Amino acid sequence: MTEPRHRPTGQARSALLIALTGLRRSVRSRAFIITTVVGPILLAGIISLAFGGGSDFQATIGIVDEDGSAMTEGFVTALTGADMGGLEVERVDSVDAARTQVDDDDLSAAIVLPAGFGASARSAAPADVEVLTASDRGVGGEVARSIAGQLTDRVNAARLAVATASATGAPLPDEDELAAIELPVTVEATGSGGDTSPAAYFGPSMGLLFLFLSIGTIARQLLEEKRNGLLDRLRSGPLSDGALLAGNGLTVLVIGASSLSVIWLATTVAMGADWGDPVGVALLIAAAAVAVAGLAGFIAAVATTEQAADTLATVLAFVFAIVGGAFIPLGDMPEALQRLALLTPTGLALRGFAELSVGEAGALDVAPYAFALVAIGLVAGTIAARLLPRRLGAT
Amino acid sequence: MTDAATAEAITRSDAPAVLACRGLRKTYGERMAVDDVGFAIAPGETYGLIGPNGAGKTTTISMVCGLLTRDAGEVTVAGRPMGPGATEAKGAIGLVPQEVALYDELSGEENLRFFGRLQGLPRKDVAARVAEVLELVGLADRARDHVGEYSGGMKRRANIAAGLLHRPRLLVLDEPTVGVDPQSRNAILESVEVLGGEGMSVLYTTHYMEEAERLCDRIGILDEGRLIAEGTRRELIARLGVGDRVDVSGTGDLAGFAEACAALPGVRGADTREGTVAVGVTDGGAALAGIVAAAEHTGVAITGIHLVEPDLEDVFLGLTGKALRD
Repeated sequence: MTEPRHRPTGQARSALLIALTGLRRSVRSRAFIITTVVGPILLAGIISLAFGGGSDFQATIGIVDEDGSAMTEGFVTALTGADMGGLEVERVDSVDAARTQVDDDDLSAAIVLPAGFGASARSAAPADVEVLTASDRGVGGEVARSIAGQLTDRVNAARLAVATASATGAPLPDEDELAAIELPVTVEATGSGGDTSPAAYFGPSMGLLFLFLSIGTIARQLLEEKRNGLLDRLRSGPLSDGALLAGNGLTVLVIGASSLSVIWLATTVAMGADWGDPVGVALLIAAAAVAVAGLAGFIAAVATTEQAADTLATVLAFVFAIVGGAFIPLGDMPEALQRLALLTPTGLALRGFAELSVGEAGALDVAPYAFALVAIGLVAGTIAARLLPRRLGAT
Repeated sequence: MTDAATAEAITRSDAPAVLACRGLRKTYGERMAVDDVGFAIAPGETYGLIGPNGAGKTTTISMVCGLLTRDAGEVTVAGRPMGPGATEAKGAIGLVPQEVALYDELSGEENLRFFGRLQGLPRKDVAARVAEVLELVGLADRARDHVGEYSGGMKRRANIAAGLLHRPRLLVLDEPTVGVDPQSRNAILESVEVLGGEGMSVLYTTHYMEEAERLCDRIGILDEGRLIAEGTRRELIARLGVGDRVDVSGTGDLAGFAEACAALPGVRGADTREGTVAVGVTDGGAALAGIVAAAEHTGVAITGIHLVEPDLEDVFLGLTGKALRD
């Protein structure tokens, strides 16, 4: 019998071997490639188209002035003369004409300033503005509602000022003074950045959704390997549990980072998306991958069966996606939900990506989000490292 | 198995035992899965651990291989203490799990390269060793096919190959033939015989008596977590004291023939059943001549005669009062 010729294997080298083999297996799995790369890109493309298609937002909104007061005239003049990027506001003579143009798709939406709107600033009745839009006219309608909201806010603020003056005996502002109300109308696709493209938002959002969904597969694989003796075979060799976990964690980390990087490249090249500062994007991608790896380990550690791992990952992925703003840009969410979103890894990553894609933020600006993501990954990974050996049968 | 018996087994061989375990104990909640189990395996010895499903074979193996922490007891492999973190002791073991523990997405060759490298084989030696092992299990011509495309029997053979790569001092096979077709089963048994012949120590668990009888130098019988007997096949049968049985078929006065047989020296008893007389004897070979003479004396024309030796199934039945496959 020949004596064994093996030599002790470095644990770091073993972890690397496990990671490389895991990657090789993943690359050969068609289902895995669809889940982590093809699916997110397709979905991001579809949603981006639904939200306006390309990187340049274009919409024409009509405005009907039925009041004819100095105040509303001022508003109309300001809006029709303002430079608002891809948004154009044009005066329409009547509500009927506006409705026809909206129905004919000549206008994305129309704002109707009703008779008495200007006078409402001096009365107790609140101001109200009507917005005409078609149910399938996504972003244009939303922008029109946003402008209408800002107009009514301004008038209501003026009404409050008049009421206060009246109550305190101060002189009431006259119509000209009210007409001079500053009109701070801005057009921002808030949350996804000032002039960000939908693809730059939905690329990472869908990538994160699918990555969190894929952690169920990863956790299930680990439990499957426990069931079919593969883990026993690995653990019966000169390999520590730490190296085994590190190897698997590294696999997930590289898969996560690669998946988001491919989506970044694809949405940039094919959809003209601008994710922003590349260093910042790379930082966030790496941090998100750490979070995904940690959570994958956590799910493998707490799930008792392969089905439980799948279910848990699916629930987690959708909760993160819905609360974190993967389907609705964070800026369009109520403020409370925006704060809640930052408790999820998806929300943290998307906030960072959104800030980068606006074009003003850099790596340093998104570093807090990256740190938070890494912290989530490390906490989840530490829990997994403590629980998994027990789950794998070491006790 | 007592510690004294373990020590005796070790001293039977001149070389130190490749595997020595004593006092192994493992409980799951209230259930005692393994209770005070100890045995040793000498270099080149094939040791069979037999018992019905749930007897504690896999739990024992898991503790031997350092996959499971022990509640009590000691394990040394190639002189090194074994435990979950004992990488040196683990390097001396090649485990072949009961299920096919290979990656379906990788080829047979890729799987073996991976496990070989993980076991610490130098990169330059891996390819040659993988080819050698694939040849041994008869899979050289399918080396580049994905394991997922292998038949059940081929997967089992590849499964064994993965445990052999680093030339372990101790090969541990956990029920390697469960659910395998007869042809593949025979190929697996032949491979184990070859390895045993080459001097590798083997720990083989099974609930198929015929496999243990064919392969194992010594056998330990596990039941309900306890090692209730250990020894060579002959020793176990002798311990049971049931002897052989001679079945004689014939025509004539079978009742008178049975009575004449019962009076012969070395005969424990004789019974007539459906045209056959079953004669219980201490030594079948020695009793045959007397039985044939008794037939002639009582005028019985013999149409068939069979010597039946007791097997491990009988031993297990005798020791536990239940069949092994219950």
